[in-house]
Formats: sequence, C-alpha cells, structure tokens
Amino acid sequence: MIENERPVTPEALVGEVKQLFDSGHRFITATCLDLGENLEILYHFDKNLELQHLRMNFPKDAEIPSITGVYLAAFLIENEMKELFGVNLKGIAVDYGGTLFTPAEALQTPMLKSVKVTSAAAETNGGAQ
Amino acid sequence: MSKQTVAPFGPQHPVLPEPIQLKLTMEDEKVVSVMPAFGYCHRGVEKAGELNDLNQNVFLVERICGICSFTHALCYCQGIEEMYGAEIPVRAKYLRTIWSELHRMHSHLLWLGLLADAFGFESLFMQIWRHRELVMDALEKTSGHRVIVSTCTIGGVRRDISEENLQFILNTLKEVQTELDKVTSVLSKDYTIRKRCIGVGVMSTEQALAMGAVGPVMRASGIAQDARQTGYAAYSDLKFEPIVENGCDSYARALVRLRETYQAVDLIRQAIDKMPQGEIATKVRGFPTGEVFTRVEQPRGELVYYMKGNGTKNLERMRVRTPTYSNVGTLLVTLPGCNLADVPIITLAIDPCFSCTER
Amino acid sequence: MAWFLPGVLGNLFGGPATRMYPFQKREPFENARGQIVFDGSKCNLCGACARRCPSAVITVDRTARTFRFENFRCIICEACAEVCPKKALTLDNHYRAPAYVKDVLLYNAPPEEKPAVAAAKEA
Repeated sequence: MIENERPVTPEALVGEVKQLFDSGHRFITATCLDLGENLEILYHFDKNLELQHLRMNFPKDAEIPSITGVYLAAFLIENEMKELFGVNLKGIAVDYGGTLFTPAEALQTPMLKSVKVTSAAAETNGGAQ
Repeated sequence: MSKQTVAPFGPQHPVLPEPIQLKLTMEDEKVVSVMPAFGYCHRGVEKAGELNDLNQNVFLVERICGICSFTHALCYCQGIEEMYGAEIPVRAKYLRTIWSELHRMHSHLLWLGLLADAFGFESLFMQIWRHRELVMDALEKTSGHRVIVSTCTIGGVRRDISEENLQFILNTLKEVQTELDKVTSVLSKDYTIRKRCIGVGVMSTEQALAMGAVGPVMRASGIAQDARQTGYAAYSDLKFEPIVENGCDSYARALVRLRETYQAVDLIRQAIDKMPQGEIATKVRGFPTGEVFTRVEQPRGELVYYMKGNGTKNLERMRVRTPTYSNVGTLLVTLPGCNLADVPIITLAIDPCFSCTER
Repeated sequence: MAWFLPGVLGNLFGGPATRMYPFQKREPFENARGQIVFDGSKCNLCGACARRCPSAVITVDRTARTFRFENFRCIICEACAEVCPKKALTLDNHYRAPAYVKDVLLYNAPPEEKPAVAAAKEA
C-alpha cells in the first residue's frame, strides 16, 4: 500500500483519469505488476508535488481501455505494457504493434514471472527466481 | 499539394548521446509529423533487477545511464531505506548531495557542449568540454571513478571526503565558475546562437502540463516545480529556488540549464559549509517488504522509482521511469511545423538520454 | 579587432597543451579505482566475495580448493574487497593494462592442514 491511493475498475478508468486531467494533474507514469493469476496496473499522477495513485486489478486477458485520449503522453508506457506484459490494451493513439523495444522474433512478454531468464550473477549468488 | 517524403533522423547523429530513430514525414523543408522508433538500447534492466539481490542491484542501476548515474543509485537506495524504515546519518545525506550536484554540473556542461556542436560551433564545444574535465577530476579524486562513481550504498555512502578533498572541490568550483562566465557571455550575446534558438520548438505552458514534460523542459515553459523541493537527502537544509524561464522555446531551455549549473556551484558551497562530522553509513538488517514510490531530481528532470519487496533477498518488482521517457512525448508537439535544420536543436533541447528511456 | 591578439600570442609561444603520452603518463589519483589485486596467501576460501560480486567475476570452489578471478569482467566496484574478512583482495590505483587475450587468474590453494587439537587427540 502506498499513500494517496484508490482502487479503480477498467470500466471507470477513463472517467477518473479525465477528472484528474481537468483538475490540473500531471501524468507521471504507470506500473504493471504480475500477481500470478491477475495483473495490476498502478497509474501515478502529480499536482504541485503531491502524488495521487490509481490501482487497477484485472485478470490477464481482460480488455483495458487506453488513456491516450486524455493524456497523449501515455502512449509510450501503454505500448511498453502491451509488449512486455501482454496486457490487452485497446485504442492506443500511436500503436507500435508490439515492436517498440524488442523485434518481432524476440522472446515474447519477457516481464511475466512465468518467463524464466537467468543471469550469471544470480547463479553464483545461490540462485534466484 | 506537394509530395511528402519520409526522412530518417538518426539512429546515429552527433547531437544524440544514444541512438534513436525519428521518422520525419516532410513536405518540402517542413516537418509534418514524427514517429520515434526505439529499441537500440533496450537491455532488460527491470527484469535483471528482479534476479539480482538487493546489494548487487545498486551497481546494476547505476549503469542504466552513464551521464546521470549517481542519481539512479541515490533514488534506489533512498527507496530501499524507506522500505526498511531506516534513517541514514546526516553526513551521508550531505555527501550524497555534493555528488548529485557535481553530476548535475557535468551533465549540463556536456549538454551545453552538444548545443554548440548542434549548430557547428565546434570550438565552443571543445572549450566547454575542456572545462567539464575539471569537474571530472573532482569526481575522480573524491570517489575513484570519473563517471560511474559507485559510492552510494544501502544505508549511506561507501567513501568519505577528507578535508583536503573538500578544498580541492572548492578550488575546482572557483575555476569552473570563471570559465563559465566566459561561456555565458558567448551564449547570451552571439547573434547566430540567438537566431537559431529563439522561437524554435515552442511549447506553451498548457501543452507542457498535458504532455507530462519534466525537468528543465517544464521549467522553461513557466512551471516552477523541482523534485528537490520535496526535501530528500540534504536539500531540506539548503536554500534554493527552482529556476524558471518564460520563453517556452529552445533558448529558454538552454538558459535554464546554464543557470542551474551556477545554482549547483552555489549548492555545493552551501553543503560543504554546513556538513557535520559523523558516520557515513548505518547497517540495515533483514529483508524489506512493502511498496515504495520515491523520486529525485536528475539533471534531466524528475526520476521516479517504484519498488515492491516481498521479504526475500530479491525485489518483487522494480520500475524505473526516467525523465526522457516523459519528455519524448513532447517531441510529438514541438517538431511538427519546424524546418529540417531545426530538428537537431529541438531534439537536443529535451536533453535526450535514450539508454535511460529504454533501460 | 586586436582583442584576440593576447590569446593568439599566448598560443603561439606557450608550448603544447597536451601531454606526450605514452612517454609522459599522469600519475593516477590516490584512491582512483584501477584494478583488484588478489593475495592468495591470505585467502581462506570462504566465498563471501563470490556472493557479493554483481558481474560473476569470482568463482570459489571449496572442495577443489580453487579461486578463479576473471579480470576482464571486473567493473572495479570494490564490493569484494569490502566484504573480504582476511583482506586478501585490495584495490590498486593503476588501471589494468590492455591485452590481446582475456586472461583469467586461477589460484590453487594448498591442501588444508589438520588443526593441532584433533592431531593431539589422535596421539
């Protein structure tokens, strides 16, 4: 739990974000978390150095609306979440189709916990998940 | 209706510290739209952050960016300390502030050199980078490395700065300030520089807020906000005001960075003056749990870390949002409508750092 | 027009601004990070350095009694030197020289001596 956070559903997302935009908040970023069964997206906003967060929990293949209609600056993070986590986002204003950071033939959705990647340092350290 | 062509800007270009490709759709000499193409610097740092243990992550995170590396380590260590609920010694906070401000100086001097190079003013570019070498010597003498200083650790700092080295820093600052005065007179009076920067890449205050601009780009459009005002490290004890300009164009962004370099000199002098004696690190035990959201002011803008710990020696999630990530969105607003010759200056004015963006 | 004359004359008669490297080398600063130096006689093969290293430079094998250090992977962060209980790893301030082959330091520790107490019990 972080301070100034409130939960939101995918249906109510665009409405809440529009309210924050009208009251003068600046969009900082969004974070995606893999919780096993579900995914969780946290949206972070700021106004005069005070933070506001929205937490949205949803099953892995649920359809999520894009907030680029309100904040165009979110196109980059939404493309990244679609590519690295496999979030089913619809209606992004500038859509790279999954080739933003990695080429089409690379490992798909690498950030999910089910995709295992090893590193040499982790191996000498006694292993890690 | 004239024909439209697509011209590639990048991935290699002298003004870009790291590669990115901007696909510019042009009509004659004017840019109609732009589409950035990323992927040259993606290294999977967020995934690697989950595989390494907490202490190894400090070295990983420092290497996300070469120019602003200490502030990444600072933000990470600050977040982990907040998760532990640990309080670090006051001397460690002051030492972190001194190294952060030295990094700000070397980053802005690098940027000023690249600005001169962007319109072919090579002799000024070489002169500014020569003055930057004085700051690099100060960094090397106090911490051991020139760029990636590796002095921040969870619980404080790893090296102390002796009295002799503090005096060395003060002498360096005096020399840099004298040289910087000559550079300022060139940048503010030269006819060519003013003609090529004033009125180029205009972004109004409302657009800057809507596009989520941060750092000097935001402050050059009149919004007076600086993440150092939240009072992390020793900034709550130091007196400073965020530097704001109202020009909203590339010239205003250059002036903000120039004035911030002078402000950094002043802040280091204040910090050296007020620094108390004492320990430089505390021991933290156990493993952290919970979530934390922390931010610091990097030379390029506001850096934000979100971390989640689950009670083991690895983090559950480490999310990094660097300032260029937000500033790249502003290119969609400032580039359309400009001439092709202005594209390097507008791209440089956001202070691009794409290794930070793509991690 | 004559305001740049002092600069021109100074540059003409001032001598070179650069050092004649490699014939004249600058002495590195005292605590500059150059390379990590390993002293085998002090090592007790505890493996703490291998666990702390962020780039998997060190491999310690207690059963085979070997210590392996890959010099060219090292990022000279000094984490190993800080954590070593016997001070077998130290920092030298001269940067490691370039080489044609990425050499690896392999140290074989002498076999373990039986402690005096157990030997006395046997007697």
